[in-house]
Order: sequence, then structure tokens, then C-alpha cells
Amino acid sequence: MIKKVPNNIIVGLLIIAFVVTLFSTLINVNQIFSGGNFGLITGAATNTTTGTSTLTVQSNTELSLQITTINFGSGYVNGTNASCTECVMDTAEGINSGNVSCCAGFNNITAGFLIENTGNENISVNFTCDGDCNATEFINGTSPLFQFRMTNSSDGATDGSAPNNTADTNTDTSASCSSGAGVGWNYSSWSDMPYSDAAFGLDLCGSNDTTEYYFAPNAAEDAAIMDIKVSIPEDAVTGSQKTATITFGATSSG
Amino acid sequence: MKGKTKRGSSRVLDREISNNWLSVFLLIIILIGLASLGFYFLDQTEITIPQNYEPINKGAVTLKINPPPTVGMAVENNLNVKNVDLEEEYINEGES
Repeated sequence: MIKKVPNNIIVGLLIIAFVVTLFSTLINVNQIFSGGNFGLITGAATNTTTGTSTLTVQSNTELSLQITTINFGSGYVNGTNASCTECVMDTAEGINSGNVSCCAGFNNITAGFLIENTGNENISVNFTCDGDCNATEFINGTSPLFQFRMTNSSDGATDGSAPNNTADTNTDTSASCSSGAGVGWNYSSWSDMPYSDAAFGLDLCGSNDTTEYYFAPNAAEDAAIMDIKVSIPEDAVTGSQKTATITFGATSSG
Repeated sequence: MKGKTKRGSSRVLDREISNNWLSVFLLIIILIGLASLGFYFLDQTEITIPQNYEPINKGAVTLKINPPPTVGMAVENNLNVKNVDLEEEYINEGES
């Protein structure tokens, strides 16, 4: 036989139910009439004639590298051709013309590092290098070259011999690093990777990376390309793969 | 009238609800109330999306210089020279 629930338990349950229901009703009614997003009332007419909408756009300093690897591969200088004393390649032209037969086995790379201001602040840009960061370490031999240069992504749109900008999210039409007092990228001609393993920093956009924020985030002028050039002499030391890791840094006032 | 009480309601409705059923109803009401409160607090919970996205700002330049292939010619010596004692060979042939 089922035991009957005593009256005092029923009274207790009634009190609990009353309290819970009352509390729940108060909160939900408050939500509904204070514009809570329960979605029960949508498009309700109000008698107010003015409203305030607030929006805060957060500062975002962000620099993205759209091409992250330049792999020249492995190869050698073709010494069987008497005219070949070196193999010259760069990421704008690939294996240099008139030099093709001298570069045996290497990859023909035609795209440099494409950096893009993907934030919403004007920034300055610098870079550091780690690993085999100069020609002697990266290549060795007699008069090797390991160089870089900065160009606008938009140069590719106007000059056929200029760097490959196909990785640009929105193809630039104006020069970057020219916002405010900016006059363009430093190291716009081929420059030696200057230091050895020690960490160093070079300002690429603006001569002072803490005050000169010339690299704008506007889609039409927010990208630049760092091209890499190597010249491998015939007597370059053979051996294991060499790697130079380049880290781009950005600073903004935001 | 048959089937009617003095106040005119049916006998079925006039039956007492047992305490057991009453307690079940009350428990249901409490659960509904608690669920409603749960929705409220769920609605109030701030959902924080961790910002795991980190733009890539590091690139690598790699190069390996191999030695040029060596061109040469390998000469294999297939000439087997057997030293034969001719005198002994001759004697053996004479005996046979």
C-alpha cells in the first residue's frame, strides 16, 4: 500500500513552490520590461522619441605575414659552364636572367615575404633575424650575397618587373608606409643582411619604431614586400641546410 | 440529483486529491520555477571567446648548397688470372 505523504510535507513543498515561482516571476518580468534579450517581445512600440546607441571600436595592432617561407631548395653552381662563377637568385625575378644555366637544382622562387597591416591602427614596422643571418653564415665562399629590400605591394600593379603581390588580400593601389609624414619604406634598394646571430632590429617603416607610425591599415595601401636576394659563388661551402628566421614587429600608438 | 453534490458539482471533481498527487504537482511546479531561473542565469552568463588567433609574423629563408655531381668512370676488372704450374700440369696429363 502506498504510504500517504503527510500534510506538513505538502505545506513545505507549497512554500518552496511559492518562493521559487515568486522569485522567478519577478526576475523574468523585470527582464521583459527592462529590454532584456529574452526575445519574448520584439518590436514593441515605445513612447520614447530618442535613443542612444553606443559602439566602441577596439584598437587592434596587427601585422600578418601572408607568405611565410622562402625556400630556395638545394643545388649547386654549375661549374661545367665556364662562364658560371656564381648563381644569383632573388624573389622578385627568380633565378636571374642570363644566369639560369648556372643555378642547378635550386627552386625558382618569385614571391617575397608579403606583410600586411591587418589591424586598424597606423603602425611602424621593424624586423629581427635569427639563425644564419648574413652572407658568410648563410652561403659562405668568395663574395657571397644575402640581401633584402622593401617595396610597396602596389608596385606590382604598375611595374611588371616589380615584386609578386598576388598574396595581398586586397591588391594595393597606393604606396604603403606613406601615411602622415611617411615617405616610404627604408631599405628600398638591395641591402645586406647586416648582422650575425645576435638579435638586432631594423626599422623598415619609419626611422623610429616607437613614434613614427606610417604604415596605414587601409586596404588600398596596407601591404609591402620584403624580397630576398642571394648570390652563391662557385666555391660556396656545401653542407647542411641554412636557415634565417625573420620576425616582423609592429608598434602603434593605440 | 444523482451524481451531483449539494453545490451542484460532479462527484468526480469533488473527490479529494490525495497528498501524493498533490506533492507530485508541487514538485513539478518547483521544477518549472527552477528551470525558469536557470534560463535567467544562463542568459546572464557572459560567453568569453578566447582569443587564440595570433597573426603570423615570422618567416624563414632556407637554402642548401650541394656539392656538384662527380663525373667519372668506374672500370671493373673482370680478368681472372689463374696461376698454373705448367710442369705439374704436363706430368699429370702424361700419367693419365
